[in-house]
Amino acid sequence: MTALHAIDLEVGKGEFLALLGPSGCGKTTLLRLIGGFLTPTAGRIMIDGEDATDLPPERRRTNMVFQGYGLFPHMTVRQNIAYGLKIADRPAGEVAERTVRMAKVVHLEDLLDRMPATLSGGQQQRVALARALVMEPAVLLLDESLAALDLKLRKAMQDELRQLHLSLGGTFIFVTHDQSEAMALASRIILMRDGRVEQSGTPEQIYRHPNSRFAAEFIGDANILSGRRLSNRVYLDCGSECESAGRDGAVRLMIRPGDIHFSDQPCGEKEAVKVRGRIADTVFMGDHIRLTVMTEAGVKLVVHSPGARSDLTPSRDLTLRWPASAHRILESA
Amino acid sequence: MTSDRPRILQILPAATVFVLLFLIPLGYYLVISFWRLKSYRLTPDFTLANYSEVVHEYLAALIFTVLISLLTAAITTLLALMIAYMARFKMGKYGSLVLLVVLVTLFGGYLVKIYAWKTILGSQGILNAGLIQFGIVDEPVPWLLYSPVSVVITLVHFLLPFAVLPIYSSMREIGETPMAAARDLGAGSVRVFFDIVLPQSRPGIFAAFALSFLLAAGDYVTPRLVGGPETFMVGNFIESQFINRLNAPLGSALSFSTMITCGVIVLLVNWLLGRLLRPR
Repeated sequence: MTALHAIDLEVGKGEFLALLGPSGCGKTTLLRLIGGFLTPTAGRIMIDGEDATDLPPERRRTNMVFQGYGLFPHMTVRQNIAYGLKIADRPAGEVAERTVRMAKVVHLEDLLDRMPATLSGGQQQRVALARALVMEPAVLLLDESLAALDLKLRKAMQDELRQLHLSLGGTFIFVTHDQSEAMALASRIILMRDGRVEQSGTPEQIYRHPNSRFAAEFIGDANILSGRRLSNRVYLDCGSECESAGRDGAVRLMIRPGDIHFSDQPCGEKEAVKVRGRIADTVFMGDHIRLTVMTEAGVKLVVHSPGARSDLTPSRDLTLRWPASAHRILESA
Repeated sequence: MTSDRPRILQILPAATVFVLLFLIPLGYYLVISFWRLKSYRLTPDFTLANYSEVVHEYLAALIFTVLISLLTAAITTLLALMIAYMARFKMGKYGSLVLLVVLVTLFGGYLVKIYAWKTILGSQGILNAGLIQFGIVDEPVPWLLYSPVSVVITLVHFLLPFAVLPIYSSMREIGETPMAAARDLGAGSVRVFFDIVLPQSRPGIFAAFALSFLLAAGDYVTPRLVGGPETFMVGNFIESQFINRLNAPLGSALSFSTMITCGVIVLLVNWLLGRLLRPR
């Protein structure tokens, strides 16, 4: 079985790269290949211009923050962080000094003599991070490292990771199945599916210009409307139409819920698409209201309305519009 | 637990067995060890004469027993460590098969193993026959059987399963991720073994060592059957005091001296293991 198809991936120095995808897409396999825990059946892995394909993990200039952290339970926090430096035979003074300095960076300086079992999940996470970062790796690998933390702590750690990346520099490669985490952290996202790269780009590029239905739905909320193109015009099943150059045949139109406007809101001069519908459901989400609108043709659309509005009640009729620049036509149906 | 009463009820059966079959007999012999024997009759007394005789007559046997048991326990623990490590980390899904094989040897029985080694190590045994066959020696090696060597070999074989199990169960607790993390931080497989695996196997290693040491030190059948006329361990003397000479006070004093000596040694080994396996 092929876990990973041919992948050609170049990561620049100082990049914060997210390998994003559903479970089983090969993202962890790719990370373990980079870390040296798996050997590729074909292809090469180069780190800093050096061929690392046949190097075992202990001889690669990569360090990993493992899923579940993998702290040494019989060692104190200090011994955990210092372990790699001791293996590398650094002088005792340097080991002590770098350990304390790294502990301060991740706010562990008061916990250095504790055992890992007495720490909270977030603190253990920091120890794992410090233990890897103290080695000053060419590439820091993070394997679903925040997945075990609760939402609030995860957000705090995301901010901290971003700060660390800014202040320490270095290349970070991060595996996650959580698109919001990838968006929050990464300077570039590699979206993976079934052992292949589906799309690669900045979070905004993938969000704004997804190449496929999979990319559109995996990153952010998306309405997918099916239709047909006939001589450079797309006729949607919901009754609307718009301009789109390309081959005749089945296409899909992707529009983000936040990009759809209501009839009484102006939306610029290029009002290309209009859909009439009726509100089926409203959900208050705090910073916006999530409307489910049923079009006259029976197609469901999700729309985000900023701010509370008392007139948006179920079974009210309304016209939805969006500029042609907001949607994206996806070729493969 | 809402009150203490159910808890007391819960430990009552075990406590009864422990007190009746362990503490009371032990206490009885402790008392007897201070008594004396007058014309083959037990006479209550409070004398240290029995302990004095232990020191003067049996110290050499005690030291010899401790040394041979330490050697046995060390070899057993080392072999058990290798088998448990192989079963846990190197055999994948066949690890439990290795463990099963280890367990099956327990069914062999104690005496069967002793007689098996008699036939292997004897002057007509297959080991000597093989050595002669291949021209390594001209005549049978005499010290293979009826010597301390054969006692150690037989005891190690008998004790190995008891030592493998506690080490294996300790090793089962060791996660794969910390081992991978150690390699990621630059440790080769030898360092991973000494820095990660060994310290975390310490409870099992100690249990294996203590168990093999104590069982070896208390054994008197193996030395009698394969030890020959020169190899007498303390167990033999204790047995002879109780059975042949009917001198229970001296036998008890010898037993308690052995118990205390072994207890101190086991504590020392525990302390030493702690020092050796402490992460630096």
